[in-house]
Amino acid sequence: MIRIEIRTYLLLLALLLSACAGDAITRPAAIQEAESDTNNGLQAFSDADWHSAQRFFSRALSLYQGIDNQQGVLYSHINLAEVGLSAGDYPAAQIHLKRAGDIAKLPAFQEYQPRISLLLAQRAIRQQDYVQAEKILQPLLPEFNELTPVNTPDTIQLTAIASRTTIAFAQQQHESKWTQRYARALSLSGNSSLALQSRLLRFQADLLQREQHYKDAESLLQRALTGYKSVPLRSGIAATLAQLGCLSMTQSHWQDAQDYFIRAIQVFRYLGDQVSVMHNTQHLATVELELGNLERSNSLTEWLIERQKS
Amino acid sequence: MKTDPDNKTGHYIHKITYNYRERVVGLFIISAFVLISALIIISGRNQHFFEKRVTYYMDVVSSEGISQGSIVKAIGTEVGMVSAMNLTENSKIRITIEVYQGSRSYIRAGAKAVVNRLANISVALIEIKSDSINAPVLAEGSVIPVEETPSLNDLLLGVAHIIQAADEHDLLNKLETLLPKLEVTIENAHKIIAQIATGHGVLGAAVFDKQVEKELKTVVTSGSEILQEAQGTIGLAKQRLMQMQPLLNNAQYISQDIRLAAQSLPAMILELNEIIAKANTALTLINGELEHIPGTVIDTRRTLGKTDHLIDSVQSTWPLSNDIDKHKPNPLIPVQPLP
Repeated sequence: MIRIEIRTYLLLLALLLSACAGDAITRPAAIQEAESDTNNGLQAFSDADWHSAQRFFSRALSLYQGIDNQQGVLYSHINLAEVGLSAGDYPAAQIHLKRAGDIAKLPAFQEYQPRISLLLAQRAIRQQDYVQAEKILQPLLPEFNELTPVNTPDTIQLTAIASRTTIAFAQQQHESKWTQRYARALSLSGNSSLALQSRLLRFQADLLQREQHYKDAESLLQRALTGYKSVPLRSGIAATLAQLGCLSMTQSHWQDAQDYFIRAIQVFRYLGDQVSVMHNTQHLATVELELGNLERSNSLTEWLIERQKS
Repeated sequence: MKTDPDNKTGHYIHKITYNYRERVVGLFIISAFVLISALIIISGRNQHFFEKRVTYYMDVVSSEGISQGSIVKAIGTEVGMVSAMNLTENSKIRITIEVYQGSRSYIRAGAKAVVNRLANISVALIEIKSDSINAPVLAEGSVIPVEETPSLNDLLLGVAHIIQAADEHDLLNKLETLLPKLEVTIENAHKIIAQIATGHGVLGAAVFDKQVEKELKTVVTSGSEILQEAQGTIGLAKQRLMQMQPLLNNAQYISQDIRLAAQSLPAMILELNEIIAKANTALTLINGELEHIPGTVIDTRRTLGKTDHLIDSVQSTWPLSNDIDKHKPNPLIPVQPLP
């Protein structure tokens, strides 16, 4: 009798213990490796190490392709396209976006189509193909009631509005309208992304600079710089410093301009953005000339000529 | 927990009744207690807490790298540990080894202990090697003969000795004083060779100058001329010998210095031989260890994989699973506006 009781209790104990345990995670090693590569790639991307990011994402892509994991393949193509855009390798970005677009046509992955379209538009903007960019952005933009979006926009829509505002400034058409739309959309969404908020501050500073409200413009740019630094977003930091340099130049504050351009060039150089390095060096050469540093200005100009030749 | 109102007789404890939840909680606590006890017992068995031990001894010259608790191995497995160290009358250190009863069969009569101080820095590896497995098991309390390898410290001391010996004999300084003398000697030799090559001097003229040939013929025919020529030749020879004097002096100095240096050479060669032998032993041991590295790496990787799996399983077990964040990182780069 006692034995039966003991057996029953043991059985109960076993059941009790087994109920406590969950399913052990048994994912294939290839997926674990690919996930690890993806995580390493994300880390490298946030560190602006484009080369390492490209290597990790390519390996992840290969591993996902090796087990026909379409979702992983899609993620890897999108990530590689982002790396291509940041590193200025637009043909590679185009190829990855094309492949990602093909996968996103499948019903299971259609939710990724807006992200791919946004990246295509960003690529077009970087290549100064504003007409094409505007065309791609059109379906991504929310419906507006004059300046206010009808519905609460999501992150993709907010980024699309930011991109559309960039086009407005580049084409010098309806900059104020799009900046206001961006501000209202951001406020309505309640999105606390510092990158998006800092971008808005820079658009607003640009408008204020045009209206010759230099002090307010500088205050907004300093706020944007603080925002970018706390993310940290290197490309934003560099762009803000360059913008501050231009603002100082407009006010003939040559010493400040020199400082901002030198700092901007250093960040652009870290990012490997040679075009921006040259563009800002050109500004710096002008500033040095104004400061009476003729020798320095000449050496910068010579360097620019050499770089243009090569 | 309630008291049974119907049961009015007997001790208070017999009136208590338990509901189902209380029983389950009690069961859970008891099971936890049983599990912990089992773990303690298993751990104790792994640590050989409850196993009988057999004592052996070994005498070592130096206790470097050996301490109480040092592991003793035989045929690659742990068979015991060092339990005590005492100084003996003949200035050696008696190490007491306690071998687990279950592993005693690995230690046979004629076994030798190897104290390897080169396997790990600061920790000696004690390994008992038996000649034959057919030999009887070594009697308890036996003293096992020891073979000690020099430590890394000893090897470095040997190298330091060589440098010290070289320093003591002032070899480097002597070499330094020799060099300028050798330089002068070579320069002199150069000058002499140059003079010979250009046909100047007696030897040069004899070898290269055809005029000498003609003059010699004339000397044969004319006695007075012979004398004159002989006088001139002697004068020139004397001059050349005077020129060669510094060269000979230098050669004398060199040979003296070399003789002094050579006196310390046999001792140095002996020391060098010893060092080479020690280095050879060290390299053989290191080589042996290196051969095990690939296997160790594979084992480590496998262990890490299993540990990872175990951690995953533990994380998915209640109550831990409640507290662990299941949020997986987004595999996509976050959406960002253009700078």
